[in-house]
Amino acid sequence: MIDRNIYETVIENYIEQTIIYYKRASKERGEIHEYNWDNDIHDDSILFEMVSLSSYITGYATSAKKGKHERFQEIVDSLSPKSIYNSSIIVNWLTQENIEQYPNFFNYIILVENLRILTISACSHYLKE
Amino acid sequence: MGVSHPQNTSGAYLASLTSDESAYQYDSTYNYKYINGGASESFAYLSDDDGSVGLEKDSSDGMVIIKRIPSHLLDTNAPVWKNYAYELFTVTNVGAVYDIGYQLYQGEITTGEATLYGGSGVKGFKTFSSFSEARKLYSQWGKGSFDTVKDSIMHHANKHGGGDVVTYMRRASNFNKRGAHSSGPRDDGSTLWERRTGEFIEERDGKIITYGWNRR
Repeated sequence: MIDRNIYETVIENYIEQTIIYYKRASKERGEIHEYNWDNDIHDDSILFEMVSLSSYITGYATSAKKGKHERFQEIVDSLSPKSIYNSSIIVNWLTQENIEQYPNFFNYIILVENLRILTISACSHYLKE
Repeated sequence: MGVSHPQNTSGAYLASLTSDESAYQYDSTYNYKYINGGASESFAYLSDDDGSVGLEKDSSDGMVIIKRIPSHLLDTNAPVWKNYAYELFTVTNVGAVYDIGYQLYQGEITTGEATLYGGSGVKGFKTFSSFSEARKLYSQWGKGSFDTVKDSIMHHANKHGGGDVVTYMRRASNFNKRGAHSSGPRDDGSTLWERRTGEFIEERDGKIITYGWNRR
């Protein structure tokens, strides 16, 4: 049995870490944007995809952190299909070259995915209580 | 409604907030005295002895704006409005304006809910220029997957704007879509715009979901 307070603390830590990693990847994000803009890559941009996905996941994670029971099932249902590995844009971006060239942004992506998994686990746990 | 409130001299409802310390832990000096308003009114406000308005509520989205006088910033020589900080409150489960007073009085707004801006320890203390500006900027945002609009603003301002909420909201509001690339409506109903400078904004149903920039 994992105490609810532990989950809430870890979720909060993860949210903070995503912000730290996002800022740490500032230079890399700028480079990616310039490359995308110069090559007319917009709708399939990894930046676009992560902007939407991270906001979506963090919103639910923030809600889960508050422990509002009425949203737990909604959170599980909403986040379950939102793995980064279900996004063709993200999966296609995860080449060895990109991972090596943009390590901070890669870490940010992985952290957002881990926040999603953590939030689902926490809410699933809450629902069994 | 079933909740009785005392009435002030003008006949409006009023309730003291000062007895509820649990809801306000940042400053012990509060000059607001009354919650005015009624179930049939479209907004509520909280006033000082001089009649200046201290609280407004937009019934459409549950927003409540409080202004108060932080004791450490009090300047008795300055115009009254300069002594006020603005905060945004998100009040949930409010069916009518009448209930706002009830909820405040009952202390159902926690400190965490009560602090959007202007609390102690905020770097670069800034305020909105007016209630109308705060209301306008706030109303442009959607809550996305967050519980409240306030939660969304706070998170994104921290992530993209370094915690300067007012400047962040102003920049988002001033995003120039002319000449920006638009993603068009996406599967989730959102639309993203980006500019060559790296500045971007995401909207859904006409409301801002996030705003930021990618630049070296």
